[in-house]
Amino acid sequence: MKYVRGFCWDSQGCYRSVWLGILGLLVMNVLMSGCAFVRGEVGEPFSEEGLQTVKPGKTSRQEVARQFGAPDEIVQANGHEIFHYRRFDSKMGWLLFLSRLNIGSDHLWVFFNEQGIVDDVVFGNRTKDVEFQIWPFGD
Amino acid sequence: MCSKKVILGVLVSLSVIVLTGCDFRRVVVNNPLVAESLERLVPGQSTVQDVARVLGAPDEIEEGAQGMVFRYRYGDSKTMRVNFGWLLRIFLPVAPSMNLGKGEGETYILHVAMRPNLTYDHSVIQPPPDPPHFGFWPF
Repeated sequence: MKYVRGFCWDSQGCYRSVWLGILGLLVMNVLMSGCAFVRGEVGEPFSEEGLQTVKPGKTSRQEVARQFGAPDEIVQANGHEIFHYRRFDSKMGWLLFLSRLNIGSDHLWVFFNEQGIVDDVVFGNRTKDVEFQIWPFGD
Repeated sequence: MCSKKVILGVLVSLSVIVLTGCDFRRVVVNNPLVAESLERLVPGQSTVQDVARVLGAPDEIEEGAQGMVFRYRYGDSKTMRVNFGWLLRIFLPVAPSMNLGKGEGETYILHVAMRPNLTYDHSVIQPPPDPPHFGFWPF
């Protein structure tokens, strides 16, 4: 190993300082660009206990409203009045020049008969599958 | 040998710097719709609960010509942007913006028709469009 004009000259004939400079540049670039993990939620999660209280043939419209609050939407279809409750969850991962935002939604649909008693309940939980991801390519 | 390594290092650094002037962004809403899962539904027999078990709760419910229609959505969008002004940040105190960018998005939709007695009737899945691609050239 010898020194030429202040640079370290190794056995392979390369300037180490060049590589250190490149490494420093890359690290600086990463630090300047940074990363972020951001989460956004709209609406309260549906609790298992709350869902258990809604029983077809027994629970009334008022009891459903007491449990979950006013619905986000009321749909009239096929002689049914349907209360629709929604919840959204989003997770974003961002690193340098790559980012991915995943959004999932939960939906609770409560079908009432003409007497205002629960006829059917449909609940889907997709927010549990929402993950933080950075890689935007592939599936 | 030395010059090759130095050139490689410089090229790698430049690529990283240029890439950090790029943006790859992806937004995914909900889970992909799987057409095969519909094969488990039997017209006239499968109930609302069976449909929910296979597909989850729908995103929308509407009144159909007979019965009702459950609608499921899956969204995927990809955006890419290149800021050619980023390179000037090495030489200038401020980096002017010189952006070229393009975004593509697709929404996949599945309709499930339910009979008046709330059993499964048929489903229509939109033929999958070309998945969105990353590309920055807007012209």
